[in-house]
Amino acid sequence: MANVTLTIDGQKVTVPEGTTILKAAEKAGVKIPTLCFLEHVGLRHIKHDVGACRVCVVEVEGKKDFVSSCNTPVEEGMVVRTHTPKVIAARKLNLEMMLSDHHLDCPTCPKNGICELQAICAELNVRQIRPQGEKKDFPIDDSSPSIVRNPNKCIVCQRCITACKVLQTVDALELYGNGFDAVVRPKGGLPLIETQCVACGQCALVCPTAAIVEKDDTWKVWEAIADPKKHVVVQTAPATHVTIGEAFGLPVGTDITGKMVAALKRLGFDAVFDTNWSADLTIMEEGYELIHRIKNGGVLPQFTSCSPGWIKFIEEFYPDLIPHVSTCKSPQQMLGPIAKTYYAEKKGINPEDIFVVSVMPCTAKKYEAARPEMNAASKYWNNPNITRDVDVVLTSRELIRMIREAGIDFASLPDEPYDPIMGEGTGAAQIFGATGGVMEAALRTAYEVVTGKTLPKLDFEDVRGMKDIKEASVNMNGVTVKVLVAHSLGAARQLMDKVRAGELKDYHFIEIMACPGGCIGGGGQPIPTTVEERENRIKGIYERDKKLKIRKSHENPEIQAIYREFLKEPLGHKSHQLLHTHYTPRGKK
Amino acid sequence: MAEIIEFFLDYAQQNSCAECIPCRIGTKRMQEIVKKIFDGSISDREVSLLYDFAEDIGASSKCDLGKMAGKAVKFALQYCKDDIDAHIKGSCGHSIPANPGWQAIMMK
Repeated sequence: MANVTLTIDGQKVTVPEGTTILKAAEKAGVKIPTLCFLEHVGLRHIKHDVGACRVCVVEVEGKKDFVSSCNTPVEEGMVVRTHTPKVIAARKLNLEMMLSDHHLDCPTCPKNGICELQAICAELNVRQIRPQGEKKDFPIDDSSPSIVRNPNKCIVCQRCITACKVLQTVDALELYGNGFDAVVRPKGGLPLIETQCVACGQCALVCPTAAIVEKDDTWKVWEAIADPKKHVVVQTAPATHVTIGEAFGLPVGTDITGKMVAALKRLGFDAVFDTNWSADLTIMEEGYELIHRIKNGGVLPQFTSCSPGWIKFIEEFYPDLIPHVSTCKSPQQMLGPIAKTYYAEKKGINPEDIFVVSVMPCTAKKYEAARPEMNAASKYWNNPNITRDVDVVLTSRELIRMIREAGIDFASLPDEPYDPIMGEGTGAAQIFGATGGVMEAALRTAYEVVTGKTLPKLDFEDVRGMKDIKEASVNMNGVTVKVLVAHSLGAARQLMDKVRAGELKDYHFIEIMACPGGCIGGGGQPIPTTVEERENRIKGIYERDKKLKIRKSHENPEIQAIYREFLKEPLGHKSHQLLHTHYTPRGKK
Repeated sequence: MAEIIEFFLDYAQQNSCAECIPCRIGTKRMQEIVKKIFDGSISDREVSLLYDFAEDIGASSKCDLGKMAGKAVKFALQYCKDDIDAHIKGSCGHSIPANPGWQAIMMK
């Protein structure tokens, strides 16, 4: 590709043809401020550069008007000026316009402190809002158990639309109307819950303001903890082990497991369990299900079922492929009913009094816990007074807020261990947090169960990393087991189209994670969650896997104990009652 | 001229794709100020703000619709200030007379 030389603020810079002014300026060491621009929406190849905010405008010699640097390619000999008085005045006025149509209740706003609009106004020294006039006034949409939309905070940057439509191919959001009355809304103006939204929360991760945020359920947890009658247990998802620390100034990807347990104990939970434990349980059930399907001519390839956003996606868009999905519940929904049956029995606690909280990287988990069929413990005991299997789901962001509310100095907490019975998790469970992890964990167990031999090398490098579709194969007793891994629903859609066309018949197992990078990039994770953050968190996940003594699910002593004492065998009667589920075809009729 | 810019701003608002801020919000704010020209309630501060708006929207909108809306106001303020001042004072003499021939043409 040819090179282009141009001048930016008096500096000559040479860049490949097609480079934007913004990138060329970066190379010249000139920072042009941006607001709506996002270089990588979840995955490296997805860019958001509609040039909506007009904050990155610059002057180009010979052009009468400003150009937006985020989406204007450089030209030979171009002379660019990035901070003339005219440009600075325009940027400020554009921001003032934005603020003139923004509900400025910043101190009580859920995004207070992490709002990009706030930050850019500080950066550009905006000190007044000259334009005044009508403000938009839309109702807040809190119909979804996962996500709250406040259109009054929307700056119509449309990042959410890119995340929903291009990254996830769910296409639940639209820009509707003209001029001042235009609004980003769920398709057709329906409440979010009535649309094909899968609650993955990728929109919330990219929203620069508080127009889209997770539903805050922290108060329910404070109340439950304070209720002396309730035995409140909490579980922590694999991906939270390496992300919560970010909010407290620790480097991205730091393993904060021990500190998180200590923090949860200080918050007042009666027992702190690890979703890693039930991830190991999932591997037992899902691995045996796969072996069963292969041996008995079941529907193949089998799909993983851990990601609730993915489950809603297949129910909405590929209901005909539901028989491929493993009937196993997700680790979150496995721990819930076990806490209210096995744990309740062992501890002699009335299951009616047990209150299960989970800390998840995910907004869709809130939706999952609210699904009507997720009350297996109540059915098991035939007792309508037993509440849902999982009572409240907190996202990583909500737990961070609770830790702050309680005034806990997180970074200096000592490491504390999980509580017994459901507190032991293996390295295999830990890697559930990253894309490819469920697959790798399943292979570690399936290989040893099928062949009876010890795996020579535990790490399946082929299924790791941020490539959107990954492939591996393993020889087990002469049978070559072929597996695929996809993350982000756009990549899942590519695979599903092939499955539908019958092209993937010789594959055995497909792992799908709704969010780019897997759970470490989940919609409930700390903001910002950029591609770099995702990669560093993944590193943290594999480091923790290496550190753990036990790295295979079937070797987890607490898992062996529950099969010995309670479940008897994988895919057994109790397993089916408590750990397996069914799916509902949805979508347009 | 005041009527023309009012018309132009209405047109821009109705047809703005809403993608960029200057066109979506800026033309609305200009519309609100221009409306005050007609009842004379516009302040000096607002007139000067209208200048700033026109300049910024004309230069930084994403497409020609927003740019033209800004420029229309800018040129009106630049070249037809008398007409606008007269409007503000409530003494507009309609300095550009209606085409006297149009009725004859239409009636043919």
